[in-house]
Amino acid sequence: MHRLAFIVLVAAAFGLMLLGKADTVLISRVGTALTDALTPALEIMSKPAASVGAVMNNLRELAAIRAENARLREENQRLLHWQTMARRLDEENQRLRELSNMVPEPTPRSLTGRVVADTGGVFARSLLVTAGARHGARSGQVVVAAEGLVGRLTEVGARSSRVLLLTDINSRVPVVMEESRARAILVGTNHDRPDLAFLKSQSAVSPGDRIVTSGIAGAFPPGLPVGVVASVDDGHILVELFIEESRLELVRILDYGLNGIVANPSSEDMPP
Amino acid sequence: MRPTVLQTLDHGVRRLVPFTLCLILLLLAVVPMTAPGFLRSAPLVTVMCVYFWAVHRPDMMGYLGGFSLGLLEDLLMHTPLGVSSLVLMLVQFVVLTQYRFFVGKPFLIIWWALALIALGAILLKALIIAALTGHVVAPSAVFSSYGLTLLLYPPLAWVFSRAERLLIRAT
Repeated sequence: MHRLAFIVLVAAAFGLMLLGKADTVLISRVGTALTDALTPALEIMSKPAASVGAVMNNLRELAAIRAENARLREENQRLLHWQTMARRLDEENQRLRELSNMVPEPTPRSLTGRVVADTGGVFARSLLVTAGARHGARSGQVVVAAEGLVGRLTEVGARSSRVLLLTDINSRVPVVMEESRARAILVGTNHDRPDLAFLKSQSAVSPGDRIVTSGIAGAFPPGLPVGVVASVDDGHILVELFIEESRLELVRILDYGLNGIVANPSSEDMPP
Repeated sequence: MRPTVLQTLDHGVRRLVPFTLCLILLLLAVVPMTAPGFLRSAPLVTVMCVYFWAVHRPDMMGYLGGFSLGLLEDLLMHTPLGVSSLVLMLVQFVVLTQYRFFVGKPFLIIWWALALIALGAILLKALIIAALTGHVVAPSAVFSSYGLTLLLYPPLAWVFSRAERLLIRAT
């Protein structure tokens, strides 16, 4: 009896693997429905976890509060200088744009969701956030945090959605080096630091260079901060992201009206 | 004597305890926590759960339990569907066929056996996922996940054996 159950269920598992290869739409719908159903439970569980994390953080910060204060004072001074400069440049930029009749860039609609699950791990890296189709989230939309780009929505349910992180092995993002304007693709590897691939010339990169999205292929708007080059090791460039995946609590979902390469015409959550 | 309706109901609820505990643990594992790097390396919680119940109370969690837990894990973690189910059922199968070995053994032996079985489980999972998706998972990630699994098993086993005494064995 037990043997029979085992054989039948093993066959079922293989069947599911084949089905997952053949009919990805069905599988992703089932997955979305399940995560939607589990989101309330995850939301409840994530609150005490967040409080515990906050307490731990407070304790850690308390230890270094003096040094931190001095550092912040210094940084504040530097930033004030930058602020004056930015204001002046912004004004100048406005005037130049008017003079040259530049087409205004679209301002995105945005939506904020709480991170309720971090399925970061060995085999896949994604987040579940509490913003779904009923709040206006659509698959393919860009997800950012205060520090920079987080990823994009891949599966959108009624009240929750899945964010494919930049570090996931399936993630590919067209980027550009901020200084040299050399284009490349940011490739996720399930590690904390994604790779920089398809760069035309290696000489254009050195550790510490800032990387932003390039906007090529239309999946991401140009100029979103991504990270800095962490190391260049013949042919292998690793990128340190601006965001810290394990510390994300709230993320912003931006709607630029781009469908891009992640458009999934068969899923029901696409705009008409 | 035939069991009364209440007894049958009671038995049914008790049978659900292991699965429910595993499910809670699976959800806890994905709740975002601000943990240092090593702790983020996703231990094999479902393998630990299924292993514990197969070793200590095989009557309380059958293959269907392992299958369903794996299914939920794959859907939640975004891994190819069916992979975790297969791995978990194989863990159960190995333990159940070697049942005599596990009876009355001290905890250290059970822990050592988990070390072997979890290694097989994570390598098999990495292999199947590589075959299905074409992406080879980094060995360092696999081993840190495995190491964390071994470290977390003793506290988990302690909590589970408490739960077993309180909720299942108590009459």
